[in-house]
This record gives sequence, structure tokens and C-alpha cells, in this order.
Amino acid sequence: MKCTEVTPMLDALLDNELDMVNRHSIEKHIQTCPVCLGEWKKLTTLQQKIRQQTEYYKAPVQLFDTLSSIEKALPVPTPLFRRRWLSPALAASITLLISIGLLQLDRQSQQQDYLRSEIITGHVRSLMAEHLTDVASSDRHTVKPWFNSRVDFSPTVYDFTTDGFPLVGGRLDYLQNRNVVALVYRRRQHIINLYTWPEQKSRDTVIKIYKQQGYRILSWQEQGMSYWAISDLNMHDMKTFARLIQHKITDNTKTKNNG
Amino acid sequence: MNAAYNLARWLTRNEQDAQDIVQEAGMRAYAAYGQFRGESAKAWFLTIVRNTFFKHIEKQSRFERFKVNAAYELQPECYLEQPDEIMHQESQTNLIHKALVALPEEFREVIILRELEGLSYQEIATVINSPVGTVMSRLSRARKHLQNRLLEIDPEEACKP
Repeated sequence: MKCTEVTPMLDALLDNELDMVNRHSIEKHIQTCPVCLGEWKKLTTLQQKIRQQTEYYKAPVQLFDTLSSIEKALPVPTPLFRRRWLSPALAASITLLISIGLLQLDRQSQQQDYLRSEIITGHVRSLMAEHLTDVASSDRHTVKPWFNSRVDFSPTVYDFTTDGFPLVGGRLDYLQNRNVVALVYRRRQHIINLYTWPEQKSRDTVIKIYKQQGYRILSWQEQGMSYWAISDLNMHDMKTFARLIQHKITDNTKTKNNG
Repeated sequence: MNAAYNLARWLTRNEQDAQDIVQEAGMRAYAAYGQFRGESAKAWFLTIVRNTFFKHIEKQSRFERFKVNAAYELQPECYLEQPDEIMHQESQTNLIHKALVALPEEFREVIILRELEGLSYQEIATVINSPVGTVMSRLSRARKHLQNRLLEIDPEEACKP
């Protein structure tokens, strides 16, 4: 590919809007072309600046109150379970209003959408040129201490080479305006990024599964930490991977408690 | 809901107008829900918010709008400084925010929708009622604008006598 072809597509690459073929060609080109790599870095830096340093204005509380009083003033449909029949149009409208937040406001889910989109971008970016790992080693005794001076929490790091998921290394990354740990694993030709950071709020060990833009994203919480695994690996292997991590953490806790 | 307020806030650049717009958009959405056909509820509602914004500013005279836009034009701080005042170095973190505020609407809104709301090109196209190609070129130009502004308003360069 020539630079003149690549340059106009860099924005689309940044925004995950390219099809696999184009994405692959451009990624290859960037790896060997310092000029385009420079342009690419300028773009990713700008994007990071915008996302980290721009204020996201949250709706003030009184706005929610005002809108719920509008809702009360207008005719309210009777609770669904009381109706013996429900027109599809009505059901659809209620769903719609819930999803845009006019009924039962759910701020958390919008944040989650955005988090997933950040994770995808982070994953794709890590696969580019030279920044897959900051510390490359399959030895957890090398990777885990590397994070000591760089994040204020201690990640659980394990290698699963014997199970077919070798640890490739670790990387410092940013999500939702904070430092997070990214542990990189490999399964055959596929790279898995496992993001982890402390999250006290919920203890939802049930694995949530998302399929987005061709990636599989699995998420759960355990022992005060949040885990997000992303890869283009198939669903079966992803679940195997997630369970490996979960079992290791549980085992580790048992040993700590017994020893 | 936060997405609606955030967009309104970035378009109007002030809190009170943003609240008014979201309220009005909310009422129109409630009334219009029968017409919703497409896939993305968020994009649909943001379209209403945006249209409400444009109805809102139609009422302003052209001169009023010119005054408002001029007020947000970026100026390097040193030009405003009096001889007996100490120049405070503007920290980097404020600059990108200010650069965004000063961007013309059509560039500002695509950046907000893409970077803060995480909408896809198709969803942005729905909200601004334009083809995807327009979204792509606007986004690209918006980013270049921002990069240039950041270079232009570098306090060290701008304040040299």
C-alpha cells in the first residue's frame, strides 16, 4: 500500500471502522513506514488527550426530577403484568423510553457501553507496531513486580502455558481515566488482553459475555478486582481462559486462608 | 440521559440552555416515540436533542450568535495581561478542552459524538442527518483543526515579544 492510500484511512482505523482486509493492510504498512507511523501516533495521542482531558457533562439531578415529573403528568401505561394483552407498539415504546433514559434512568449501562468501546480500541492499538507489552516475559515473578511502582494495586498474574494460554507479558494501559494493568496472553495465533483494576463496588463473579465488532469480551469481578478479557479468539476458548483465571484466583485464596 | 445532556452542553456551551434543551427534547421524544423505527435508541434521542438545539438558536439573531462565538475564540493568555499582572502558565490539561469549545459546531459535535459518546460512524451520520462520508471527512478535519489549534496556542510561542 502507498502512503497516499493509507493517510486518509488512518482516522477510520483509529475509530475501528475498517473492515478486516483494509485494517490488516494498513497495520502492515504502518509497521514499515516511519512517516505514516508518525501520523498514526499523532492521531492516537490526540484521541487520548481528548478522551482524558475533556469534561463529560453529567446531567444534573434536577433534570432527572423534571423529566420524571413530565412522565407522571402524561398518561402512564398500566404495569405490564396486569395487562392481559400488550400491544407490540406499546411494549416497543416502553423499551425505547427505558433505553434512552426517560423511564428508569440507568446511568451505569451507558458508562459500560463506553468502557467496552475503550477496551476494543485499547486492544486493537496494542496489536499495532511495537506496543503489545511493556514487560515481555512469561514468568509471573518478572511481570508482577514490574507493576509495583507503576500502579497502586497488586495484580494477580499467572502463566497458563501448560493449559495452552502462555503469558506473553504485561502492559500499563489507560481506561476510564485511570491506570490499569493489561496482561497479555496468547492462544495459538490469537492475542488476549486481560485488563484488571480494583473495583470495590460489586462482587459479580458471574461472567458477562459480549460480542462486539468481531471481538469477544468477557467480564467479571472477583476479590475486589474487575477483570475484562478481550480477543478475537473463539467463544469456547475464551470461556476456558476466563475459568482458568477464576479457578486460579479461588485456589490462591484458599491456600492463603489455609496456610 | 447523560449522553443527551452532554451533547446539549457541548453544543450550547452553557448549563442553563443545555437543561432547557434536554427537557424540551425529552418531551418531543415522549410524543414522538411512535415514529421510532431504527436500531439505536441513543442515536435517535441524540438526533432529537440536536434538532431541538438548532430550533433553539434559530430564534437568536445572527449578530447575537456572532457575539457568542467570538466570546469563545481562543486567545493566548498573555495578550490579555496587564503590565502589573503575573502571567500564569496555562496548564496543558485545559488547552484541549478550550480548543474543543472554540471549534465550529459542525466539527465540535462530531468529536463529541465519536470520542465522548463512542458512537459509530453510522450512528453519528444518523444524528447529524448526513451521509457517512461526510462524517468521516468532518471528523478528519476536526482532528486536524484541533492539532493545529494546540500548536498555535502554545503559550511559549504565542507570548514571545
